[in-house]
Amino acid sequence: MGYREEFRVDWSLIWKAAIALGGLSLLFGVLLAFAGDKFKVQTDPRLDELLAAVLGANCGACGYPGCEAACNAVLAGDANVDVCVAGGGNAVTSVARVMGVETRQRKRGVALVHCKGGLGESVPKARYQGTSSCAAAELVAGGGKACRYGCLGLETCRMVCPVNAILFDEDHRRWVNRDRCTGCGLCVDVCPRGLIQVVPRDQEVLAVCNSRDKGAKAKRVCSVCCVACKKCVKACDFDAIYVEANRAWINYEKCTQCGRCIETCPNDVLVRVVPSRRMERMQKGV
Amino acid sequence: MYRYFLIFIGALLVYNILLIRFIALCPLIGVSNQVETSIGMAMSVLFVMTMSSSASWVAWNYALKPLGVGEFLYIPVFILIIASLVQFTEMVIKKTSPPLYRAMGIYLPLITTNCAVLAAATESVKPGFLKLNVAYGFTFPETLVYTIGVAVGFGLVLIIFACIRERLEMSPIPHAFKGAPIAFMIAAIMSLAFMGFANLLGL
Repeated sequence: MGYREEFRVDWSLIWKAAIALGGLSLLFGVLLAFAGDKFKVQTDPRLDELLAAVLGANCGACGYPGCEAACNAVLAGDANVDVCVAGGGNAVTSVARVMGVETRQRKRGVALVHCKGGLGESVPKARYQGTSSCAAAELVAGGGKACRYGCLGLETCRMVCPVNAILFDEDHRRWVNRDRCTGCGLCVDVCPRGLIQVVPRDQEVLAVCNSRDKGAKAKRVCSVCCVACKKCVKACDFDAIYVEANRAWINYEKCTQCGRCIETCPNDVLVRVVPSRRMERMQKGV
Repeated sequence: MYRYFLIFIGALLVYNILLIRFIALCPLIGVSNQVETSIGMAMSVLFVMTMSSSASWVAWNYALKPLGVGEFLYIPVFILIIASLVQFTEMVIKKTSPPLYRAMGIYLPLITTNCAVLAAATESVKPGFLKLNVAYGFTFPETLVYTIGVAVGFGLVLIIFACIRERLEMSPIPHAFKGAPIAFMIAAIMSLAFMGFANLLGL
């Protein structure tokens, strides 16, 4: 048997295969089409409207397995109209309109990563090579960074975010896109270091450090850490800042966002977060 | 009659699909937290597996084998059959029995991707391991008996496993072993126990 003969294409076999597979597909397709028509179940027409009203990311932040289950719960009266956590205010008003009830706005928060230390600021103690998951890095002697409390900068929080609000930069540090973030809080639970918290959206003055080390030790491993010097506490006229566990905290209810603490902080731990829309206006000089 | 009995016992115990052949371990770990859900899963598998193996047997013997394309086409064709039947079953159950649909609604689409169903369909037309002097393929009644044996073996192990895991919840297990690790160890021990059935009745 020669080379040519051995590799000759058997067209009849190809035809037979096409007939067999195509015929069976057609048979089952027709069967399913008829069955779908015959066994059609009447659903509430409002269900489709509700599905359009919620975010539709199937993120599970509401506690139901998927958006359809959540919408069914709303229709059955088991869930409130503000069931869609991730959808925010728009979703609440749309769902309320479909259901024909009064809406009660839930205050929307925004996630904040309590760490400013990228690779430039925070000293690495080792090179972590492995799966890009903070939970895994945390298990391997606490990951690559010398700071035991800082952001490891891997992908754990980014993976769970249903709206891609967590930004990835090469600096081993995560930022949250405040325009995209819906405050659903899915990233809060997965962070092995508890760095992420949902803070009020209108709060612009924030303390972003999680270090619980004493001043000198903290300073050794990171140049933008809180050393608990209490300068901000003294600067604040409204009693809104306190120091606990070697780091500064802001009481969001008392804070008036005057920003005096930001000027006094020697380590740039306190920052004012400016929403990007206002930033655009400022740049245009409006 | 004795031959049917041998096929059934072989599929059920001696070549148990979960513990001896290690097929479909995902539902074994995933759906065995509670006895109730595992019973639902076992019932769904029994139903779908019997239907899909019968349809696969018909497709093999009346379409693929006569055309001579079975050897390389059986896996796509069987997947097509299984997926269609699962869809069809879901529609019918959704229409006829909403409570049952709610009870096993989430498990039905899962079965589409369950390798045990495909394995049962394949073994029905190409039984490679049972020492029964089967030259090439079961007859239709043999396929039915074999598939029911596989499905009952699947359900048996799943329910025993769920019973053990429900008790494990209350047991003082070291923290590191809680959850999936201890489940895998229990599965291994059960597998060892089932290996005791090897060579039963000369199978």
